[in-house]
Amino acid sequence: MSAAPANAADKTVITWHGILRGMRENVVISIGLLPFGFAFGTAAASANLPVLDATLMSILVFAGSAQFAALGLWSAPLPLAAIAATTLIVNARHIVMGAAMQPYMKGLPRAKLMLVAALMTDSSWAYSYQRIVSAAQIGAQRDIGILLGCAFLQWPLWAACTALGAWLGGGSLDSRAWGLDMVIPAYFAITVIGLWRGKDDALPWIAAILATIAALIWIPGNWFILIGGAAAGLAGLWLPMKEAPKAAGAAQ
Amino acid sequence: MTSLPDFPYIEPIVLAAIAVMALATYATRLGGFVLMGFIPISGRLERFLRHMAGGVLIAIVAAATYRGDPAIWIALPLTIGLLLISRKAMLAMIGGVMFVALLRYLAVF
Repeated sequence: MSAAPANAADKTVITWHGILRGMRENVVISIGLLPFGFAFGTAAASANLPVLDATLMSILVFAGSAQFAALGLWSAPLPLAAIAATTLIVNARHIVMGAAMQPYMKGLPRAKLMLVAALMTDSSWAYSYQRIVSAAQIGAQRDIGILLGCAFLQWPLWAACTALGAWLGGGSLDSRAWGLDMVIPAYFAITVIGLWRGKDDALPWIAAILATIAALIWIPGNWFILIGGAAAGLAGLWLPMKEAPKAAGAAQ
Repeated sequence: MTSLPDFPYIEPIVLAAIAVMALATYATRLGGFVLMGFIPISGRLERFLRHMAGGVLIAIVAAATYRGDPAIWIALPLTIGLLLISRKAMLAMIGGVMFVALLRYLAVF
């Protein structure tokens, strides 16, 4: 993230060739997205979100974790401030991802950069970041169309699977009897396990659990997510600094 | 929530919530690109954001467990175990959901 592109004179471009390549190379991995879109739809249905609303959310937000997190707060009257704050912090990782990508976007017009940012998901970022960095290292053309292609493929799939899940999960289905209220805890438990990077994560995780439980007991409202997140962030700062050489800002 | 009219209809408050989420999400997606134009993201800020993102997910699991019933308490460790053994996220998730359904069907809880 600290290394500048090898050939700074190069421009980052978006070509149809790149877009099609991004679509083609993500077909297989995108199949893995289908069950999660479906799961979000069923979870939305069990949170009493109608099919249309759930689908619109998947189209406009297009961020699985934040959408699942919002469902955890979905009770009338809708806590807009808590939903906004939770969305911001669940998605805070995007800031890090965008910051990592930015040095490789040199020469891309602002409007196109805004489009790239709009379609930057965990999976489209991970796929294209790796390739853009390699291209910069060998001085090849940087075609960020591959990120757009990946997202163009996954966006409609995500929305369609949400609609299907919400439609099947709604209606007369007894979501509790089918265990659908387990979808959210299971989804996040699985995501969290995937984030484990070693024993340095233990302290922030414990801090998050304790702060969340304390907030649930003593603080009314839906601020437990923010409090748990902030506790983990602060605990992470308190850890001894031992950054990998390639980590952000190491050269600063 | 209420009975739906014949034409496509979304409650204004729900529409507002979705709009707020969309804007907040886009702000984070664009934020990194914009910030880097002014200041490099420092190692400390990067660490804070990364640990906070993980902490948020943990908070959601902790809250769901705290508010859940014994079926969820039992199924959650099994879901994690299934994930660690199989390394397949979807299998673990389906297994966890089915296990909750089974426990409730058997009226154990």
